Amino acid sequence: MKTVGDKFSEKEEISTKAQWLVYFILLALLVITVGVAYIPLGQFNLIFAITVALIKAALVVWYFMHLRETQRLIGIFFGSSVFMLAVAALLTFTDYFTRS
Amino acid sequence: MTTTWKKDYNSTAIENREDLNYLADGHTLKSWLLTTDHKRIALLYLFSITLFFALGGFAAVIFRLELLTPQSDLVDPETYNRLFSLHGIVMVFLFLIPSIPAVFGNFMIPLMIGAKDLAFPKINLASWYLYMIGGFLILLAIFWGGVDTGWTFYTPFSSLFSNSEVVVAVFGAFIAGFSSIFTALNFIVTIHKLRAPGLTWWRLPLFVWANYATSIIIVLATPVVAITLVLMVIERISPIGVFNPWKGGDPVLFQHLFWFYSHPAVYIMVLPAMGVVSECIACFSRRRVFGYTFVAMSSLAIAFIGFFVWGHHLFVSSQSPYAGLIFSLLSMLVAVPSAVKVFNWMATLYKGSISYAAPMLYALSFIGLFALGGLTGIFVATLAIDVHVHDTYFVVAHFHYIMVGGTLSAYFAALHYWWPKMFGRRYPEGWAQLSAMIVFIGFNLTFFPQFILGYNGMPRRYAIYAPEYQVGNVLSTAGASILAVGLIAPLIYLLWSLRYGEESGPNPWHATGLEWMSASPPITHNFQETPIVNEDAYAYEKKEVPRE
Amino acid sequence: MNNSVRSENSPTHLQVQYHDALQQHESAVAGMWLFLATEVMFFGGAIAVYIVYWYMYPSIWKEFSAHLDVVLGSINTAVLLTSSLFVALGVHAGERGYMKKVMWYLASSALLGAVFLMIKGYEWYQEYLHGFYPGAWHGGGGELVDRGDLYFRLYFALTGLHALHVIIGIVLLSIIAILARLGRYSKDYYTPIEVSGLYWHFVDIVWIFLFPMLYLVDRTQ
Repeated sequence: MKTVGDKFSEKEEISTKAQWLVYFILLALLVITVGVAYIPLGQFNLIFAITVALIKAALVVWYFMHLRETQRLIGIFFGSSVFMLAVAALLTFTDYFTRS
Repeated sequence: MTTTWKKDYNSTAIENREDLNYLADGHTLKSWLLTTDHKRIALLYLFSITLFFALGGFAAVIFRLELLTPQSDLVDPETYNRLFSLHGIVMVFLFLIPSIPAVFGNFMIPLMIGAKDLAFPKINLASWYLYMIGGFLILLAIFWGGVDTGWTFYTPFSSLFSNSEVVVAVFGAFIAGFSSIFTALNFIVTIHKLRAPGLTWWRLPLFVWANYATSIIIVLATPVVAITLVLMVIERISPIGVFNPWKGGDPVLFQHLFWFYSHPAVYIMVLPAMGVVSECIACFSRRRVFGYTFVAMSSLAIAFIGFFVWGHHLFVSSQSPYAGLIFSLLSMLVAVPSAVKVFNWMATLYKGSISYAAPMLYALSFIGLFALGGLTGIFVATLAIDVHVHDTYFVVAHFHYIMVGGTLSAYFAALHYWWPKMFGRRYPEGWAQLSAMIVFIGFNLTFFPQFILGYNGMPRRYAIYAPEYQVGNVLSTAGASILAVGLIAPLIYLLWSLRYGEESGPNPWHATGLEWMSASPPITHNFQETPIVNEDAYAYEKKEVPRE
Repeated sequence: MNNSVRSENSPTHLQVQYHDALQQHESAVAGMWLFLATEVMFFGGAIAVYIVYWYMYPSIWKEFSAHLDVVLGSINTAVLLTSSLFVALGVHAGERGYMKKVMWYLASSALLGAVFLMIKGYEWYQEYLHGFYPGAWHGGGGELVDRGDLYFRLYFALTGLHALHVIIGIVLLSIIAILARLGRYSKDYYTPIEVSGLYWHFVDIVWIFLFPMLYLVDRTQ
């Protein structure tokens, strides 16, 4: 009979050291994102801010939320919600972008 | 059958509590209201859904009577608006969306996969309570006068101008949405994690595939309408201006967000129905479903593509015509997987050994009426035609063909098909077949004239109409009265059968599927031993049928 | 093969439909991830509304976003990131059965969540003092003012919804922290700790997106 502890023998876990490291990377990314916001880069400002936010979110999801220890299919579900949101926004924008 | 189990389910000797069927396992009110047994929860839903269906139907009776004459004589226009809004809100949120999943999904999915319950039994109970709270709030709104916005709650009328109980009704719909989400979460995890040994994905009954696809839609789409309704209500109680043109807001944005859910919602309503049809067609033609893989995959395809077509509800709003073009194209695409199902069902029937029990009559009815409704969907998906028929009775007929001719027929198919399993009793077949035919005739008489009325320009949601439309309306109301008879009859004979119906064995239809391996009615934990599966679904060729 | 491996030694929390504790644990985690998927769509919808109007009124968005306090917003972001770290460490401890550590970590996270709310409340108060609050404009103040009204109401709606989720998270974490201290969990059963942790991380992720979207619209001069 499997207990919860059995899952650890199957995959190597994320150490607390790794989690602290990720934390400091997240803080660094926060500083960078605020700093870059003050540099005039035109359209790129927005893209940069969103990219950094996505990286931070990915780090939290992977290292803090242990997504890789969860069943692959559940990760696909979560990813599909992000995908669906993106498509919804995109299709809505086809309306707003093409209005005269 | 190569499924194994160890106890003789037909034995009536009760050795211990574990052998009690789920109906006998506790007689107190508490044992029902605090149950975590998926079967009892399914019956709780059956009871409340029937009540709400009756309420929605009653509203329809009144406004169909009103529509006998062109003038607004039975009710005034204001009341008429509240009646069709009531009808839409109750039928969509409290009947069509939950019906098949919450009653038959809840009851049958664990049985079909050989599990003892769903993954989260307490969340299952919570979902029924949320449904009841949402339903109660909607009832409260109705009691206080109802809403006159239509079930679509378009802004800025709903958010700024309507003098009706929008906030309460919308709050009710919001809570009911959570009920839906909880059910869907439960189904997805259950189907992933609790399948019996040997029950691979490709051996699952198509009803399970259908509910799985439906659950994915629910999880992804419902929260969007939740936030939309929240924003609309905030706008109503404090002028937030999100959809208020005078504050820079865009009412069409509400429509985008609302239909982002509400279009997939119609697939929530129809996919489980298609699952039921697959089960019935297979059983009553004694054949495996032709193209099983295609039918399973088409459920997922409908779910997926269905997310990208919502703009076809906005063709005549100020949505840009280029967006309209894209949505029109995508809407054509979604018809393809639906057609795949219809053709596969036809191929299943071909050279099958067909019998016409009531579930089969309803299932066959589904195929024809859904096909017709679906084809008229192509009409309205064509932008140029929709400009002409939008907000006319053509659209009303289109969606009623699918919702009533489709989903409701399948609901009745499921009710009759699984009635012996749920209650251990057989219903009177003759009465059921007669009712099915009355429903078919009444339904077509009610809604076919509406295609013509709409095409000739009669607008929907109007209490007063031009006199040239009266003939069509009279026919429609006549049909509605016949339909009502056909819908009320099952209430009578099904209840009758609970007491006086012939007792049923575990598998009265000699169908395949694990649910038929349990007792009728099943014991509380469904199976004494977890069954093991080593053959595909619908293995009817191998099944010997002692013909009665 | 007898595959319903349920003996009298099954843990009491094991529900009848599961054949072992690992299956039950994985199911609970899967259920929470699915719930978080619904939250993605919920907040995503709200953020999509915000983005649509940003696209329609870029100069208004730039002007009024500049009124938000970037320093406080950044501090708040750091506060939530720290609370997320503590929750992750708490779950890690819970997996190994160190329930006292779990209590300290989760309680600290809840506390940091409260700090977040206090800073947010202070920000709202400042905005109120400067005249940016629901009800400040009653129309007729001109287009610019009305659109600013739209901006701020969306700002309050978004941060308000997020704050509501933070409150729920604080309550959840506090309850789990207490139950952990009371010995309800062990290294064989720490599912509620993990599942609450997932929820809290998600609340953090929402803020990770809200912060740049709200505060960093265009800070270039």
